[in-house]
Parts: sequence; C-alpha cells; structure tokens
Amino acid sequence: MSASDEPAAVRHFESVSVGDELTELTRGPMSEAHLMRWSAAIENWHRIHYDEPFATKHDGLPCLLVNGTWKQNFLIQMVTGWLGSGGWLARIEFSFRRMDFVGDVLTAWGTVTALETRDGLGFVSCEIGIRNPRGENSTPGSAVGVLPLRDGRPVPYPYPVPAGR
Amino acid sequence: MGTSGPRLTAPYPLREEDLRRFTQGLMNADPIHYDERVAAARYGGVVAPALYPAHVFRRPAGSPDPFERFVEDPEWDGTDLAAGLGGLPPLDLPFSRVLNGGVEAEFHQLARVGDTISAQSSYADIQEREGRSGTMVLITIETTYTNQDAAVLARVRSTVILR
Repeated sequence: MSASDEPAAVRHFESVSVGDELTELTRGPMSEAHLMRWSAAIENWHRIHYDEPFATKHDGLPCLLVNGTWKQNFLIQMVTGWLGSGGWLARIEFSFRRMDFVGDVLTAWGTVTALETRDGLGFVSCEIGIRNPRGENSTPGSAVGVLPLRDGRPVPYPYPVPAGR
Repeated sequence: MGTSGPRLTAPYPLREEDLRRFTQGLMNADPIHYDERVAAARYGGVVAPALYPAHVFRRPAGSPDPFERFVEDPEWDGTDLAAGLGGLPPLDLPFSRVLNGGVEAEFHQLARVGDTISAQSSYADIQEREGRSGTMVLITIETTYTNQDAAVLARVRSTVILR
C-alpha cells in the first residue's frame, strides 16, 4: 500500500473546489485469492465468488465475480480517506450496475459536484464510482461529506441524527 | 410495508480479530482500525469502517451448519435470502435469482471494538419492473444499526433485485 493511500491530515472546506477529483484508490488485479480472503472474512458463501465451475456452468457467468460487499466498502474507504481525519462521510448511495471480474484492476474515484456551508460546516457533494478495465463505471453513485471550515468548529462526532428521526 | 422486523443483536461483540481480517480483506490500512493511539482522540478507541455493522451477523458457535444443505441440494448457490431479510417475514415470490441492487446509507458513528451491535429492519419499498430479461421485483429494506447504548451508528437502505 502506498503512502498516498494514507488518510489525509485535516482537509478544510476552503481548499476544495467544484470539479476537484477525490484521491483515487486502485486495487488489484483482484485474484481468486483476494475474493476468497474477502468471502472468508465476512463469512459470505455465495459460490459465484470462489467456485468457478459453479459460476460459469451453473450460473452462466463469464468467470468469478468481485463481491458487491467488497466494492461498497472500497468506495466508502476511498471517500473517507479523501475526507481525512477531520471529515465525516454523512451519506453515500450507489448501485451495482456492471459486473467486475476476477483479474480486474479496480479504481474507486470521485469528483466534487457541489459545495455548501451550513451551520458552520462545509458540505461536499461528490459523484463517485468504480472504474474497471473495460472502461465501465460498475458502481455509480454519490456521496456527501462534511468538512470543517478553516476557522470553524470541528465536525461533530458522533455525527447527529437529523431531528425528527 | 413499513412493518418492522425484530431487533436482532449480533452474536458477538465487535472483536479486534474480526476487524483485522475484514480490513485486511478490504486492503484498508487506515490506522484508526487497529492503532489505539491514532483512534483514541476522536473515536475513543479502535473503530470499524462505516458499513461494518452490516457484517456482524456471524453464525454463532453451536448453531446448525448451513453447508449441510449441500447433502440434499448440491446445486445450492451458498446464499441465504432469509438471512438477508433481517428477520422480516419472507416474501413468497416465484423468483430464482437474487441480485444486490444498491445501497443508500447515512452514517452517525463508527462501531468500536467491544460494541454489541443490533439491527432492526423494515420493508421500505417493493416495486415490480419490466426488465430486459422479464419481470423483476425490487425490494428495498431499511435497517437501523445501533450499539449497546442504543446510539444510532448507521441507517442503510439496501435494494435486492429478484428475477
């Protein structure tokens, strides 16, 4: 793992502009060993992630598939890493649109789409996704991160549940 | 719709060892997931990634082995739809394939080592759609994850596609 994967020190809202790219995270090639290690870690036994004859002959897939559960945590890791130790990932959504295959190098990416300040905090909206070697965005989505203002208060932790919930 | 299932509690508190395997599988080396000195100031201790609570419902020691099913059903795909419903009453629908459609989540707090996590789910939405390969049903389940102090860690809406 490279030093650029380390979460940033505190990132301030003022240093962010619309159109900025979040620091990408790249993993892979995602071998059978990677998929097996993940399936075992979360104790999920769906055979399309480790049993190639089952995946291809029974389910008619081209090969083993990278787990959606791995991809969702990978996306979250990319956004939280970019937000840094003083930020907070308030909201994220994404959908699984394309399959990612064993052997793929996968890159989680994001682009800042909107900025807003509210209650002395900075809110950063981003478009996010996972790029695979076929040039597809397999997991498109969006996220909202909260950053401190340069002379502002820290982002509260725990991050409050909205009133009325 | 909107009916809540039971509040389910993870069989084990969050253990450092499970977190190590999870973050190594994810290839996430952020020290807040293993280094007390880094994590303490903001989080009070070592914490898990934001969506980790969705992965704490492990099979307890002493429970029946789900792989026994291979004896009768060698073609079983290894998934357990009922387990993914968070204790909600299963829907009696004639579909053979289950796909993970997507996730929407809001985060309030990271689970800490030692936390006992609970989850309560409800059906948030059920829709029928015509897709390229015929009719499919999209089921959205909303789950609220809390710790032992009833503090909300995350609210997660996940959509499964049946077809």
